[in-house]
Amino acid sequence: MKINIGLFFGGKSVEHEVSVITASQTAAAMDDEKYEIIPVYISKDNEMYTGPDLLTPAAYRDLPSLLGRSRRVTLIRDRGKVHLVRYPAGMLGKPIVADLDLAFPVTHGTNGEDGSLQGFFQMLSLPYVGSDVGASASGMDKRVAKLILENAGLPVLPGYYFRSAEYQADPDKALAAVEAFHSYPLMVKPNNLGSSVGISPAHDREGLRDSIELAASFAEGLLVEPMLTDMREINCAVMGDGEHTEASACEEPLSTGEILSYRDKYQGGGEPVGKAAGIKGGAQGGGKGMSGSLRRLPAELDEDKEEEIKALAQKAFLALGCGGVVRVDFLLNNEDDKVYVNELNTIPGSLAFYLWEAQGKSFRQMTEELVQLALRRDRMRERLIWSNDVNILAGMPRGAKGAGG
Amino acid sequence: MFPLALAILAVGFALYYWGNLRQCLHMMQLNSYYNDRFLKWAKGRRAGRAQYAYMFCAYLCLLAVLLVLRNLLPLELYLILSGAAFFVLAALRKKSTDKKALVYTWRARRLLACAGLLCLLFLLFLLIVFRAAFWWTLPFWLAYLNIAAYLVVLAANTVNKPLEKAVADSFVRDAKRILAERPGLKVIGITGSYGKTSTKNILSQLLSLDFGVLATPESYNTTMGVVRTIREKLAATHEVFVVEMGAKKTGDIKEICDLVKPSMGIISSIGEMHLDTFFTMDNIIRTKYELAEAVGGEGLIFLNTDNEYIRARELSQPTVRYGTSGPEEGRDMDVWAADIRSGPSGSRFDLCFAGGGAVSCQTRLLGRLNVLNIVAASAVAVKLGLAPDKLPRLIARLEPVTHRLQLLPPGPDFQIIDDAFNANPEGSAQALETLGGFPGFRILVTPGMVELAQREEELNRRLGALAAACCDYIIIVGESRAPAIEAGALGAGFAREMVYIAADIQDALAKAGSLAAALSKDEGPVTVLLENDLPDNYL
Repeated sequence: MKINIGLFFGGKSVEHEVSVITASQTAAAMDDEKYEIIPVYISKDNEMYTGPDLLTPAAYRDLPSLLGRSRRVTLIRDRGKVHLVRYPAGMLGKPIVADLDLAFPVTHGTNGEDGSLQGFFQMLSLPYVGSDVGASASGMDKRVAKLILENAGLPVLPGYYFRSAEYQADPDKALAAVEAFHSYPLMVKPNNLGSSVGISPAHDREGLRDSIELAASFAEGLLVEPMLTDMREINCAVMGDGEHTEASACEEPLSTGEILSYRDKYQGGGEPVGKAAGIKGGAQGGGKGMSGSLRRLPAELDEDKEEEIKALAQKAFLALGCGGVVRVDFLLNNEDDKVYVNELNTIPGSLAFYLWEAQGKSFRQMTEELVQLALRRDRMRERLIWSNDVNILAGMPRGAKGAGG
Repeated sequence: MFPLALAILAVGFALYYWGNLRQCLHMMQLNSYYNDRFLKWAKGRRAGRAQYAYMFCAYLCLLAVLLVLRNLLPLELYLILSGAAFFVLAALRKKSTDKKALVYTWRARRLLACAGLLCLLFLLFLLIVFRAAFWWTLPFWLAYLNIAAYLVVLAANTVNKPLEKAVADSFVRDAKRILAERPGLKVIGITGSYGKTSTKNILSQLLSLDFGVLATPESYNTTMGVVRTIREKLAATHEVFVVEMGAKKTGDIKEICDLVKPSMGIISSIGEMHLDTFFTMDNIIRTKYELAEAVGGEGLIFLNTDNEYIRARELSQPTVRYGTSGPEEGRDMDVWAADIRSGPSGSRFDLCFAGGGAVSCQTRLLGRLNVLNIVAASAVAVKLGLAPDKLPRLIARLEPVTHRLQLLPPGPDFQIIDDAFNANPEGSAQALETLGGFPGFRILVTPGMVELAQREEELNRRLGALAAACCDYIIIVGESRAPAIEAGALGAGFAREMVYIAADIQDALAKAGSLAAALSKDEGPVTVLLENDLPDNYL
């Protein structure tokens, strides 16, 4: 009897396609002797499909025909089991496609990485891989993450948060408020998006206007931070739970512009620089997801700095209450050598497997550990509610009124 | 008109009959569908005899009235009147409160269907024999069916036997198939006269963080209970399967072992439980050791070496001996508890290992017997790879099992130690000892002990004597075992006015409440121990 794992990917998110790639990489890495992988593709309008071809990225060139070959499904909990059922059920045949023992979400960005999907699993009492609802939601909300990290004593850049409605109501007042917060250059971000979508720098008031308008098209909440002009980005992944954490190797993603753009991150650079020492990927261009982008791995860091970053990464993981694998992105200011926690990705692109491979942990072993962590968290949760199985109302006299709180 | 009259009679009778049939079905279920045990209950029904005499008279009157009415009334009116009489009887029926409710399993439904069919066949047979006269005598036959409800259920159970056997066999085969697909599953069997449920619960709690654990749910300790657990609950994510194995006769344990093939086993105790179905002590011992045989030389058997029957038996296979007294007391142990201090808030003890090393633990579970259960579970957990230094934290978090020495949140008048599912002499003695450790006014509420054949009276006498030493007041539920308990208590110097015989559990708790209310505050808290509160078929 294999453990049935529902691999959830896609979703209503700007990182929809990246998620398809992460899913196919993850499915290929997992031990098929132990696990039965059931792909569950979430379309851009949040409908779920299953089918064998859904794990082949090339099949997505013709989406309507792919979905035509796949089955529309939904999840239902019944008598202690979670069924993946065909929807609509149809007249003939069993509606149950599979029973799921565990959900493995590899959805990036909104609706999948922000706690929504996690909440869906939680409602079904289906154990799932990765961070729980609260950690996912606060990881995705840049302002909330910043507040939590700051509160835990971790170094973060100051931030100014406002809503695009405020800007629209009185642009000049909003711009003045931003300028009062910090001098140029500034970085403007949509508050709750993963990846680098919608992020742009502003060097003056005109630029700030453009940046705000760009970011506002992706999110209602906007976050402004001072921009470090001479800095490096360093990423480090952390795996574990509240009891035990482990940090991966550090990487330095290489960018072509001022910041790592969405193109840089997921479609690889134009130059085949793969021959350069320590630089992986890039050569094959698009279609490899996060593992295919340009980077220096391991990052060039002196030993102390590397240790500091790894320690900070684990602290940040714990501060947000994360689980599974999380990639923590840092900014390293070259001027004063100070490190800032920039953001946490609770479902990193390609699950950041390349960072673990770099220190000898295979992707297969990683998925194995992620599954165990998920099951362990589920058991921990079951223990918490172990003895509250009593119906307090069972002893109520008929027609009695409650105590009113 | 005639069909309508017949329909009224049928509905009235069905309403009336349902209550009786349901009760018989319920008792059949509580007696695990064994005809002989069911008959024992039916014969012993106290209220039954009076009821039968009264009913018999009523039917004679009915017959007389019938003979008179036959010439006075049209048949339709006669049938309607009879139907109305059944409606009245149904309305007058006393509602019973069941402690362990009837569960409408598929088997119960099949039994009910068969019983209904038998009733119809019976009436059809009479119709063929009596023809037209049948309708005039119908109310009489229906009344007869009501008296004989238990015979109907008995007959239906007998008729269904081959069918139930086939159904059960297919379930067993299915469970075997499921287990065959799980070669990596670690199966741990637990048997014993007492302590097995608590040990099972403690073990699954200790393991439940580091392993996916499935345990047989409360009292599912027969082959079919285990089969059901496997078919309904066993998931691919389970790594350890803890199986409680109950036995009422020799071969019971072997049967479960043949199904689940345990690689580890715990024999938690050997005592005088179910002596009426085992006949001899030797049979009991042999049955418990069926688990040791099943585990064999490849596996590991954990033995409660506190127990004299177990100590007396040598085994030539890998064993782990555990207990609550160690080498200091001259006992040869592998895992044991030392320096045990038990009180109203639980126990503290040192958990010691033969290889050296000890960890100090504390638990909220009451009683020394639970310390022994914790030692057993810890021994298994360590063999499964749990580090001993992790144990104290897990042990401190253990939750009591419902109805097993469970200290309930204090009520306004008194607090309750709920030991209702306990039903053995050793467990009762421990519970009383625990009660004795509580400050203030202590009340024992018990219906006494059953199922110990000829020794029942002696054991209940002993229970009374023990209670005299540990509590301030005794409330005995039900009259059948009251004399023995009372005699035991009085023999040990207990005052007669401190004993009360209650009609049922509600009465007992009301009495405890009024006692608590009458006490002044400076006499300290009032604690009530609910001991051996048994399901309905024993009361």
